[in-house]
Amino acid sequence: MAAEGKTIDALSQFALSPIVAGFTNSNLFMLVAAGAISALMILGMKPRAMVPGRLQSLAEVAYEFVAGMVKEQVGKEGMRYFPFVFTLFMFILFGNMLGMLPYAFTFTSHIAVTVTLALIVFILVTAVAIAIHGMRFFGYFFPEGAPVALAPIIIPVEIISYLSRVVSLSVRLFANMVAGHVMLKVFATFVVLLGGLGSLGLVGAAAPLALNVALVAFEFLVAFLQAYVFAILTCIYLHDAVHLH
Amino acid sequence: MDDPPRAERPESFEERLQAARDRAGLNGKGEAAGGGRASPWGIGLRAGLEVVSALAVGVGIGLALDWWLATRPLFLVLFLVLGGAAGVLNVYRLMLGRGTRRSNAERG
Repeated sequence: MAAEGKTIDALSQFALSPIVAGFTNSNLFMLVAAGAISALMILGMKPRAMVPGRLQSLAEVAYEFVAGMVKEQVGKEGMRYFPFVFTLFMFILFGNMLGMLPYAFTFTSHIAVTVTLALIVFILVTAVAIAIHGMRFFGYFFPEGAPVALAPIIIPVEIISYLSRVVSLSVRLFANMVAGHVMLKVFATFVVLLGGLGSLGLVGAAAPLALNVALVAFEFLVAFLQAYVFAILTCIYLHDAVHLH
Repeated sequence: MDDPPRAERPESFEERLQAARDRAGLNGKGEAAGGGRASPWGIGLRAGLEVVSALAVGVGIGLALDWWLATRPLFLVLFLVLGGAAGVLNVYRLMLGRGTRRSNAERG
């Protein structure tokens, strides 16, 4: 810790470090997340008990939470997209939550990862809309009843608005995770730096330490909330694709 | 003990359950879509993000078209404005809530 000197190094926690050539710590934690989700669902549902145990309760709560969200946002017929939304939600949730463990790497703090996830959502939603509605999908970009003379303005604006979903979806998740982890690191460094100032510093270090405790709790909230927001926006986009208004 | 036999009760079990849930406030339709009730900060950040992402897409398209057609800065300027408009549209829709996308467009 003293090796860091008197500077705050908040960004090194996001550095990729290759474990094997082409396989980084980010990839490792993606595999860990996928493994943990599979283990939760497979082991949790193994007993198939009427009165569920702890692990089975967790698996059931996760299932019902996402199933309820899909039903409410997309409608009954939206349940055929449930596996996709569930996978997405659990992957992001576990990515965010694993990032809260000491020494862990938060793969959702990389824009490359979040853009990929957002592009998967975007392409799938567009494909669903075209598969269901065919050419009528393109009517989405021009509201009925609008003056045709305004088409050169309305259509580009609608297309930009549609494309901006990828940007806002990915940046929201990425920025929240980065901001949270930077704050944690900054205040943790304050504790170390103040603690190095002798007995008076130890008293002063209590304030950032207390703040960090609160921040950790807040980060758990954010970790869940961002996974939820990503999943619910996916549902809303799916709703638009299925019903096209 | 004056309860009428179950079969004679007017409502089905589903309806009574529904009524009980309504009384208990468990059927909250109030849960807003997209992250629950947001704080002013949350709303501000979301709206800001919507504007910035639409602007970024607009600038990106503009620069790409300029690069392709070698017309810099014509399309950049054009799509900067369109991106801003799309950003305002995004915020407008965010504030409207959902389900009103087309109905409002038809009205206005």
